[in-house]
Amino acid sequence: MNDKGDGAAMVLRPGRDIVASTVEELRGQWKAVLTPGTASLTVDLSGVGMVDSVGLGLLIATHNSLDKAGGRLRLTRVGPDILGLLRTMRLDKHFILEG
Amino acid sequence: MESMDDEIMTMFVEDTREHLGDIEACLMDMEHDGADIDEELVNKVFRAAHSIKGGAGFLNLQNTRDLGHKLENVLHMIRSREIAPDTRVINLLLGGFDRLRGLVELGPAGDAEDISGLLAELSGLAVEHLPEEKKADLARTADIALPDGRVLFTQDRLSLEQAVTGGKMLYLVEYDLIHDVHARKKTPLDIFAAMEASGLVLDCRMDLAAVGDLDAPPANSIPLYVLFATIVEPDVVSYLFALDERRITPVDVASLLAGDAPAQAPVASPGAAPPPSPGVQAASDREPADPGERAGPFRLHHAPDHTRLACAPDLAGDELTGAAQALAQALAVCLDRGVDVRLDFPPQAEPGLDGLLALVSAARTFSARGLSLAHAAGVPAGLAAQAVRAGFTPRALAEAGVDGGLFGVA
Repeated sequence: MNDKGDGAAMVLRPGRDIVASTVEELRGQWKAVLTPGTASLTVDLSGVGMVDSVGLGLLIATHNSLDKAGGRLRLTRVGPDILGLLRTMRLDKHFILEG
Repeated sequence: MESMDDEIMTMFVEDTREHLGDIEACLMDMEHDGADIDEELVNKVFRAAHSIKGGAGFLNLQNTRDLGHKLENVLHMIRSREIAPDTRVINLLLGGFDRLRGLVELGPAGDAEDISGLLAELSGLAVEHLPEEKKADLARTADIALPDGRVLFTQDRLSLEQAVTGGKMLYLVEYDLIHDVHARKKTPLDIFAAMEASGLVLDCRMDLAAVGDLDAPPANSIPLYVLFATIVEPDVVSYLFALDERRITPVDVASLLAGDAPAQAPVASPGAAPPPSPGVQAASDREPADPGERAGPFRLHHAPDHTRLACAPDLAGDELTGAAQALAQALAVCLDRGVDVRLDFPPQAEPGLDGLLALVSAARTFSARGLSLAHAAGVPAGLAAQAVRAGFTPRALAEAGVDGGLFGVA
C-alpha cells in the first residue's frame, strides 16, 4: 500500500475512506513510516470517498508531525468533494492539494 | 435526499443552459454599446450570473459559485457605470462565462478544476475600477474576535461591507468537529453544505495546534471557527446548525466599520434586529404608501394585519428568476418589522432555484418568529411546477421545518 521512493519521498495509499472506523489502523501505519526527520509525505487519496471529522484529525496530526521537521503534507488525487471541503476549511494554506 | 439532489442538479444544468443560451450575443451587443450601456441588456447578463451563482451555492459547487460571484461583481460595476464594457472587459467576460458553462456541465467534478487565475483576473479588473475610497477600504482591515477577546479573523473593510448587504447578518460560529459534528453522526461536508445553502462562508479557521501530532493521543476536540453571513436570524441559525447559542456570536459590522481601526469586533446583542437593506429603505422613504412601498422589483402593500408582497408592474412573472436576492431583501424587511406576509405573484411566476431557496430560508425564519408567510391567492402554478421539478416533497420540506403548502406540495 505504501511506496518509499528514493528515500526522500514517501507515498501512502490508504485506498479507503479516512473515517473513525479506519483511522486507528491508519494512524498506526502512518506513524510507523514517519521516521524522525521525515520532511516529505504524500498521501494518495484515490479510492477515498469520504473524510470525516476524525479523519480530518488524522490528516492534521500528520501535518503537525511533518511541520516539526519543516516538512509539508501533500495530498494527491483528491476527489472533488474532499478538495472543495479542504479548500473551504482553508486547509489548502497548510496542505499541498492536487486534484 | 439523494434523488432530490440529483433532480436539482439536472434542473440546475438545464437552467444554466437556458441562461447562457444567447450570452455571447448579449456580451457582443454590450461591447458595441460601449459606455452608453443598455441597462436592460446588462441586467439580463447580470441575472444569468446571479442565478447560476445562487444555484451553485445551493448545490455546494464551489468553483461555479465563486466564478459566478466574480462575474456578477464585474457586471454590477458595469451596471453602475464604474466599468465601461470595452473589448478587454468583454473578452474577459466571454472567457468567464465560457468557463462557467464548462464547470456547470462537469457538475461536482468542476471543483477539481483550477480556476484561480481567472478569478484573480476578474478580481483585478474589479479592484482596478473601484473608486478611491473603496480602494482604501480594501487596504484597511478590521479584527473580529470572540467575546473573550481572542482575535480569530482579520477582514478588509470592503469585504465586511459587502458581506452584510441585502439585510444579511454576520456570525462567528464555533464548532468542535468531534463533539458537535462527529458525535451527532454528521460530517464536515454536511455542515458546510448546510451553511452554503443558507448563506456565505467568508472565512474559516481551524486550531491545528489543538489536534496534536501523530505521537499525541487522538484528539478529543478539533476547534473550527467560521465567519458566516446570512439573512437567517440568530435563533434560527442556532436551530439550523444544532449549536448552542453561546457558540454563535453575532458580529456588529456597522459598529466595526464605524470605528477607525478597532482592535476587536463589537458584538451585537443576541436577537438584535437585522439592519434593513439600505437600498430597500432608501426606496421606501421616497415612495408614498398608496402605490405600495418600493422594495427593489417588488412592492409592499400594507394592510392592518399583514403586508402583501407583490411584483412591481414592470416585473413579469418569468423575470422572478434572477430576482431572488431582491425577494430575500424584501422578506428581510418584513421580518424586521415583524409582520405577516402574503405573497401576491402572478400565476406564471417562476422564482428559479435560488428564489425557491430564498423562500425556504424565509419560511423557516418566519415560522421560528411566529409569523405567517403564505400566498395571497393560490400557489402560482409556475412556482409549484418548479418546486416539483426541484424535487421538493412534503416530507423533505417537513424535515426542513417548512410548510409544503407554500410550494403547492402539501
